[in-house]
Amino acid sequence: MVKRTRVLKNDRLSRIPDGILSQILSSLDTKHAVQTCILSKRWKYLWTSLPSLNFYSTSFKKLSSFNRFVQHVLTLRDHSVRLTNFNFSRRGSMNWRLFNKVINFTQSHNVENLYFHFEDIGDCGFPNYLYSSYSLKKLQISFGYSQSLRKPLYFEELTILNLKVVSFIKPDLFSSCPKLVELTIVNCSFDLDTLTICAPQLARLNISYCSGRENGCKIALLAPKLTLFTLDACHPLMLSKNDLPLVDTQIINLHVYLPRTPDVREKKLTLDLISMLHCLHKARSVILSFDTIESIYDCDDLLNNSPDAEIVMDFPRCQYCFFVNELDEFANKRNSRHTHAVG
Amino acid sequence: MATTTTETKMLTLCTSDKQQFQIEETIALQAVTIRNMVEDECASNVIPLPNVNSKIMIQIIEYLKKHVDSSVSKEDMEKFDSAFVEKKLSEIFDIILAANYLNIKNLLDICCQRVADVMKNKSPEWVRRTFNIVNDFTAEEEAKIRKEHEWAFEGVDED
Repeated sequence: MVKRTRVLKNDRLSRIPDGILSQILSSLDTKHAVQTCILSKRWKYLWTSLPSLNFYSTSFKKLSSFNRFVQHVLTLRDHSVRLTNFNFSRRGSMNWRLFNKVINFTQSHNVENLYFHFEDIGDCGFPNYLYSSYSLKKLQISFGYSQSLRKPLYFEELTILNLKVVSFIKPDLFSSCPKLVELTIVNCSFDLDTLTICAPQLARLNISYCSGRENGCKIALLAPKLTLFTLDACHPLMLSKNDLPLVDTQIINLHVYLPRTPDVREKKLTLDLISMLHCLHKARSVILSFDTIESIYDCDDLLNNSPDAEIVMDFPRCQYCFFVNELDEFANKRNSRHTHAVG
Repeated sequence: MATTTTETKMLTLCTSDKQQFQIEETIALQAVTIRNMVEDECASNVIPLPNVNSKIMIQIIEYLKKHVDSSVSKEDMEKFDSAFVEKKLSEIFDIILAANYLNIKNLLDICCQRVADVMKNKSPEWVRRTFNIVNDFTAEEEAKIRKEHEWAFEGVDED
């Protein structure tokens, strides 16, 4: 359905200060922002002083046109104007000249919020700038093909970090990001035995769609201020029991997903899950997916023989337990068979 | 609801069309401009707001009343905000001017975002028509600028 937009009666825009027009243009695709240069004399140079740039190759049919566009904008922009946000997403294999230009540009402008998506950086390699910066406050990096983080990260001001399709090969990556509050790890692989997440200010941790080695990756979670922990569509993590010095005010939300394949491996995963829940037993609130619950209940014999079984649903500080997805189905199953006490 | 024994401090705002609005101080102080006036004691009980008319003031008070309420969840606040900006563009621009003058950052942000959403993926011709922007270029000038910026006009969609 096409939504009709009424035409403004008089040029109300002319009363709006340039700073606000810049703010409006900043949230547009920069391609459309530049195109406003032909609206009127007032708009001719407005695009050159935007505090945010948003480059998406999907807005261009040809990659060569996209490359040319980015080069022009970076060259013609008014360099005296502060650049705070830079969003860049490019399909295809990365052209190294453009790559270097973009990286140098964002670095020299002390960008605060940076989003990079590179489908394929080829031989360009993970740039040093993305390992260390004094200005970055929010960093989101995503790749089409997995890239390894080869060095620890040094980001003094960074509060939000979002990593997609990255391979972890170094055990301690985050301890030099003292202000990190939110860490999101999606579609990543843990190619190591133990990953240490040591972040004194970390409040929110989300690990989704990640995989580890066959025998699992151990996570040492040193995050005393953690209040929200989401684990989605991952195998259970092997946490160390003493690493989580939970305080009373903390609430941990946990959403574990176990693939339900009836093989021997699943039994090990279930045991891993039980011991993970054991480590998190001080959580104030727990969200478990239906799949997770069912996996546990399917393994009655395991539960009966496991020394940790008693603790599975025993969260002493828990005010409530949520079971997401297909609640009714779960309730029916619960009523029809012998179940273990919940909550 | 808890009732307080202390009397709620009220402020009177006087709009450009000489309408007076009595509102709680805590609500009004979310506007940085009003807060500065009160803190600097350069305002008596009646605060003159010559750049805001009563029609817009009513809407701004509605916004401020919601946002002062700390019991509203983040999701509900977002729902309120997105419903709040469902207005005619002319009104949005009036609120932008008022929010800029009163210095209410979040209100300014959501209104700017609303305008940006309208402009999203639209041709410059559509934007010029919808926002009634007077084209002060001659045909030759416009053609020249378009040519200089041809790198930004690849595959422009019609409206």
